[in-house]
Formats: sequence, C-alpha cells, structure tokens
Amino acid sequence: MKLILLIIGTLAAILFSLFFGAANLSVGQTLQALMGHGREIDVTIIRELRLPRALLGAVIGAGLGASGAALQGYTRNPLAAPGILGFTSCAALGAVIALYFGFSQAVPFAALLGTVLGALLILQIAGPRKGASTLILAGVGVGALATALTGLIMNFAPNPWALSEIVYWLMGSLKNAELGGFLICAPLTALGILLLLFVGPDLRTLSLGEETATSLGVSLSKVRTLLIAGTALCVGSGVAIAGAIGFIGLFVPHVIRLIFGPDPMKLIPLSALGGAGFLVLADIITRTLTGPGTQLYLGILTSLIGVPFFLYLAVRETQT
Amino acid sequence: MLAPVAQLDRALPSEGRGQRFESSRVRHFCLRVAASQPNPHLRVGLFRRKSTAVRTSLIFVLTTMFPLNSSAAESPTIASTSLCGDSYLLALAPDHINALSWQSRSPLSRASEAQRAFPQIWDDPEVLLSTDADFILFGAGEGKFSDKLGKKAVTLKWGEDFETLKLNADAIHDIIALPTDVRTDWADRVKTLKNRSNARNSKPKILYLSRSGGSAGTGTFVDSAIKAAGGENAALMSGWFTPDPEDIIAYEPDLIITSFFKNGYESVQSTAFRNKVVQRFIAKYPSVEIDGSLWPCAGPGLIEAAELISEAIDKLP
Repeated sequence: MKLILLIIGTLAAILFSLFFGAANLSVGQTLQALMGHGREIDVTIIRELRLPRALLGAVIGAGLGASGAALQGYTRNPLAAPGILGFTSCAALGAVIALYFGFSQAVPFAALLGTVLGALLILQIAGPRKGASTLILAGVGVGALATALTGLIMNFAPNPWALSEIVYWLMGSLKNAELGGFLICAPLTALGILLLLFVGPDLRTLSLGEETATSLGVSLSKVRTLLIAGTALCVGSGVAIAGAIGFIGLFVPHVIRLIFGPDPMKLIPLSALGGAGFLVLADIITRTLTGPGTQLYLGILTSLIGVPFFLYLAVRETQT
Repeated sequence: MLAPVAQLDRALPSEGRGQRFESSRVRHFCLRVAASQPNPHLRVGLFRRKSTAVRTSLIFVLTTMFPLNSSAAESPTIASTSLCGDSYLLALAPDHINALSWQSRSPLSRASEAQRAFPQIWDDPEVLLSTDADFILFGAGEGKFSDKLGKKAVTLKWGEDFETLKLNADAIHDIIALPTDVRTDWADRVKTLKNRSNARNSKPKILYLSRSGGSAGTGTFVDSAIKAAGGENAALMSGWFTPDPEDIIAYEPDLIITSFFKNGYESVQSTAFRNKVVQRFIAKYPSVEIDGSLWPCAGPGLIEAAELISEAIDKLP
C-alpha cells in the first residue's frame, strides 16, 4: 500500500508540476495543451518546456535518491551521500573546466568525465580491500580537492560575466530543461540505477558487516566498483544537465527508511522514486517563489532543506 | 538573475590574472639590479662602457638631427581601467591612449589589433602608480585611491542613457583638452535618429534578448537605444532581468534585438542561444544582432547600436 502511494505520489508530483510556471495557464488550458489542443503557445509551454522539466527533475531526483541509498547502505553510515563523497564536486569541477575554457557545449560530457575520474581517484585512494570508512575519507578528500580546484578556476575567471556563469550554474536549476537534456540524462541515470540495483542484494548482506559478507561470498571490490560506477553515472548525468543539486541523496533515503524500513536492497528503488517526487516538488516550489526576472535556484532550495537535516543527523550520531 | 552585461567592467579583476602587464617600475628596478651586479670579467665591463658611450653618442646625434615633434611631446596620454572607459578613449582620444583596461583583449573590446597590444591596467594603486600616463580614466565606482596617485583622474559616471554619454565625454574633454571633438558628430547622429523616428507613423514593439536569455526593461541603456531608434520596448519591467522561457515566448514583438550571440561568452545558461523553443521564437520574428562590443555600457557604441536598430525598423514589413 505504501509503495502504491509512493508511486502515485511521484506521478502526481510530475503531473502537478505541469500546472506551475511563469505563464499563467488554467487547469483546463494545461490539460488541453498536454493533449496537444488549444493555443499553439500553450502547447509549446506545456509539452516543450514544462513536461521535459518535470521529467528531467524526476530522472535527476531518482538518480540522486538511488545513489544516496546505495552509498548509505554500503558505508552503513547515515551521513553518506553523493555530495559528501565528492561525486557532485567532481562533476561540478569537470563542468566548470569546460565552462572556463569556453566549451559550454561539452559541459554534460565534462561533468560526466569529472565524475568518472573522481570516482577512479576515490577507488584508487581507498584501495581494493579497505573498508567503507576509508572510502568515505577518500571521497571527502577528493571532493575537497575538486572544490578547491573549482574555486581556483573561479578565481581565475576571465571576467565577471564568466564568473557569474559558473556561480549560477553551480547553484543548480532546471530552468533550461528541454527534451535534449532529458534524452542525455535519462539513459545514463537508468544505467546507473540498474548498476546500483545489481549490488542491492550484496548491500543487504553487507549490513551484517564486511567480514561476514565476505565470508558469505560477497566480493567487496566488485560491489565497490559497481557502486561507484552507478553513482558516477547517476550524479554525473544529473549535474551535467542541471548543475549541482545537493542533499537529495542524503535526505530522501532517510525519509524512505523511516517509512519502509532499513532494507538497503529495497531502499535503492524506493529512494529513486522518492527522490524523483521530492525533486519535482522542490522544483515546483522554486517556480512558485521565483519572481519575474529573479530566479530561486533549485540547488539552493535543496541545500536549505538538506543542511538542517544533515546537522540533525550529525548531532544525533554524536549523541548515540 | 544574471549579472547584466552593463555591469561587466564594474567588478575588479581577480588577483593574479597577470594580463602580461609589465610594470615600468619593475622593469626599471630589474635593469638597475642587473646593472649593479659585479661583473668578474673586465672585458665585458669594458665593452659595456664602450657600448654605453656609443649609445649616448648615437642618441645625441639622432635627437640633434631629428628633433621630436613638439606637439607630440606635449600630447597628453591617458589610460583606462575599465572596458567602458576603453570604449570612450577609443572613440574620443585614440591617439592619446597609453594603456587600456584588463579587458581590452576580450571579445567585447572595440580595440584594434594594434590597440590590443597596449599595456593593460586595472584599478589597483600599485598598477596605476607604475603607469606613466598623464591621466587615468576610471570606470564607474572605481578610483578609490585616485587622490594618492599623483595623476589627474576622471571617473566615468554610471548611467544608462545618452545624457550620461554626453556627460562622460564632456568630463574627458575637460581634463585632456582634446584638439578634435567628435561630440558634435555624436549630437548630429542622435538628432538624425530622432528625425528618422519622427518621420515614421508607428513605434514598433522591440524585445531585447541577450545570449543568456536576459532582457532589458525600462531605464536600461538598451531601452534608451530602442527609444532613440524610434521603437517601443516590449519589456515593460524596469531594469535588467532574465525572463523565464515561458515568459519570453509570450511576447509578441515586431522586432527582436539579439546581442552577445556572436562574441558573447560561452555559457550553459545561453537560453536564447540554445533553447530550441526560444530559438524558434526568435526565428519567428524579424531580428537584428547588435554586436556586444557596442554596448558593454552606455558608451559611444550606443549611438551606433541605436542606428542599427533604426535601420532594422526601416526594414520591417
């Protein structure tokens, strides 16, 4: 029943988001336009602007939610998330390098490349046989390095215009979402989630501890490689299209865990669904709060929601 | 909201940009240090003394035979610290430029290839002390240390209309006393624009879109150019703003001004340039591309921009 509600809730969020935007369209006009009827401009707005935006939000949210759940399952650490482990920073660095050198068309690929290189570096530092805590440390370190290098590039931005481009992009937004971006992001995220689902059963075994899991036949290096590859695909493709959107991978799996229980295998697909719905709802909020000409960036909103939650978790961990 | 292009040169350059600016003081210091190094080889030292004597004699002979043009020697030099200031100097006093701003080699600069080779300066007291220009032209909001430089300085006024253009040109003329005056030509061109505008029966609605999808409402210099050209700004908001793509396609302009499409900086936010829905919208209406270098601010290029808009209005069906 809960699962059905989650699916319905996510689909409802996607449908609901079609009614929000800068143009003032009634419910009837929106539904007509969705079916391809009504004024041409309404059809364009709904089918070519709002629908790709909602779908892209859902896909990116799904990737972030699933990767957060998988990372928390693997590290058995509630503070683990793609952003904390440096994936988002590495993707952002790749994209910012592309922006700095004027290859804005290559930003999606640069972000993906940045994530993959970051993931390889994390794997290299963490080593094949080290535990989850080493992976977290490696991730935090690589993430810090990527953030520092991003800051360096911003420092040397050739002009205020280029700097503002980088800064705004790093805030994350679905404003420029279109079908092309969705077609790039969706297959990569789907592949990433598939890899994460593949390691789900091993994550369930890993909840018994690494030694027990190894004795039960779980290959830690295989799990880690698949986990990193899946997360890199999910996060990289999302950052590539919409910029840095943080804390969804941290926040959503916790909420889902509270509702559905702690099984890490189940948490991956459920967090994907929850992440999709949450990001679409967050985007609705940004659209509602965005005034004419002044945009509220999605990454800012998700951070404002996620950071207090992160602090709450950190305090709770300290007290237990 | 994206930073308006008009404010491009209002921010300071980040430290360590380099810009290949060579400080004359540093150069002088290096030469002195090099000259003061004890040389163990007497023959080299002897050669240096001979060389110095030959050079001094040569300079004496040359200056005696070909005396410096007195007007050139007295010609004051001026340096600009901002892209906006550059545009004024390039239009008003191209023969008096000593150095241009740190953005003079950017795609938005109107400097020629030769002018791009000028030293680059920015609003930094040490940099400005090193320049040997007689006058410094600061951008709006710059020049906090101008009273400590020991040089005459002018600070551009920030404004978004033709009046600001005139005020800034007057200020530059007042300080440098230029022999030629292009201000009369500017006034004539603005008057011609007004006459052309008055001769038309209607005022077409004109929408401005920059590469990033930003637009310009009332009170901006784009608005001033549109009005001077005889049009009416389709954007009724005041100031610079970035409309949502949904808002953009809801406009029904007679003419679209696109800018920074060709020499704008690459950007992921290039809504107007890349978003297919916005692209289709632009293609649906008559449009004119105004080179971004014409209006990094309300500078001399504003007149040419208004003229181009006026020509585009004349071509409207």
